[in-house]
Amino acid sequence: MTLFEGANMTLRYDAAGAPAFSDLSLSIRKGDCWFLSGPSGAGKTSLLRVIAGLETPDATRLVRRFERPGFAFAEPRLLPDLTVAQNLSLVRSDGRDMMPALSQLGLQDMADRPAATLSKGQAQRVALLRALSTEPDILLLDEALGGLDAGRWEAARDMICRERKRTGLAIIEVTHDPARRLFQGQSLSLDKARETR
Amino acid sequence: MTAWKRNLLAFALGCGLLVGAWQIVAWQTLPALLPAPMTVASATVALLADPAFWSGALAPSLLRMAGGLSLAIAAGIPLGIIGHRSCRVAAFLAPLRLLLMGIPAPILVILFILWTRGGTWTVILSVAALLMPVFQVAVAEGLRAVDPQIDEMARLFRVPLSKRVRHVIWPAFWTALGPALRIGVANGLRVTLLTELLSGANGLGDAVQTAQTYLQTDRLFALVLIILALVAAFDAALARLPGTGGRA
Repeated sequence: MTLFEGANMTLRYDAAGAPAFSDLSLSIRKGDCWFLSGPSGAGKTSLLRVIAGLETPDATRLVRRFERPGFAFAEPRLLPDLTVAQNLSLVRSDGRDMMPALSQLGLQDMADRPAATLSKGQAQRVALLRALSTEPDILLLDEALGGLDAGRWEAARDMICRERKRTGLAIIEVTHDPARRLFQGQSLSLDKARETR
Repeated sequence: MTAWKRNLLAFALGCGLLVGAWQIVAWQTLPALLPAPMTVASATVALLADPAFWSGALAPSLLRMAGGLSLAIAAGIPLGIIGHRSCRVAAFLAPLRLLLMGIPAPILVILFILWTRGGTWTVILSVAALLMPVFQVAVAEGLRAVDPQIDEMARLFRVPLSKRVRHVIWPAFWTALGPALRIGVANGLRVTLLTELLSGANGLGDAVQTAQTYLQTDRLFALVLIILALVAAFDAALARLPGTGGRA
């Protein structure tokens, strides 16, 4: 099942400026894993934003067939005055107990802490949990695990793996460290990007 | 002793110092020019015990101020929102905003007295016209203070509008609107008084005018005390409204 399909996509933030990316085609199916690479400014985050529906490119074909994306942004984007639990319940509609998930990422004691008091790594893990807690069809990770130590990174990867096995979600990942790719999926290099699949 | 109690004590000491200085000067001055604090306190009690003061002066002034303030908010908020969303509309509205912000209050009040022949609507329109730009600017600034990244996250995750307003928009919005409201209430009362004083409409302004005409200086001071107490009470109440919060 195709979740996203974009053909000959070109995205410009400024009509007179250079495009973030141009003439790019991409098709994402349920269960796919994509690794986006390229130098800074190549358009990786822009492509994630297009997939999420936050930007609309010029394209000969653009289809999104998913209800809600899970997006772990490069910045955690937590509401600082709310606790971790409140940040998570803001986007959750299922009412499931969130403690098991918090425990898996070592955040079991953080539920009642205001987000403003979290370290960068803690905030990143909460942001990842938030992205997963919406039961997404597609998970977009924009340098989302970059600040985690090896143990936390593995715990996060295991959690994503379990969710993928359980729901078959597609994963699109951007990281500057290829050694820390979550999955050996398909790659798209945006510095010379054209159609890959 | 808590910080709040220490602040209260400092405030009481400041008041005591002023009253002490006032008493010393009053001993050396004619009562008609500067009545003693106790005389003014008696006049204040007498005013507050008089039902005619509540119904004939305080209530009309407060109702007019509330009317003018409501009108200013009702006009200022949509104009602020529209101006925030469109630079062209903001530029179109700027001359009126600058005119109302720049024109001295007494001149605008006199013009409204001429155009509307005094009375309740003169006061309401004067308050509204002078405060509307305050709310227009505050709303635009408040919306600008909403963190676009947090707001984008909330829209992406389809956070319900009520939660989005409560947790994302309102805290930022309030950082500008809260102070505007506090300033607006204090200025609204002052403009109400000024308009009533100049137009002769009944209310606190008329009471001040009457006290001045008959050289009832103790009553004049009592009115000033009541007005100050009103401003302080409104300010304290508004300062306690929930909704302030920072952004990340």
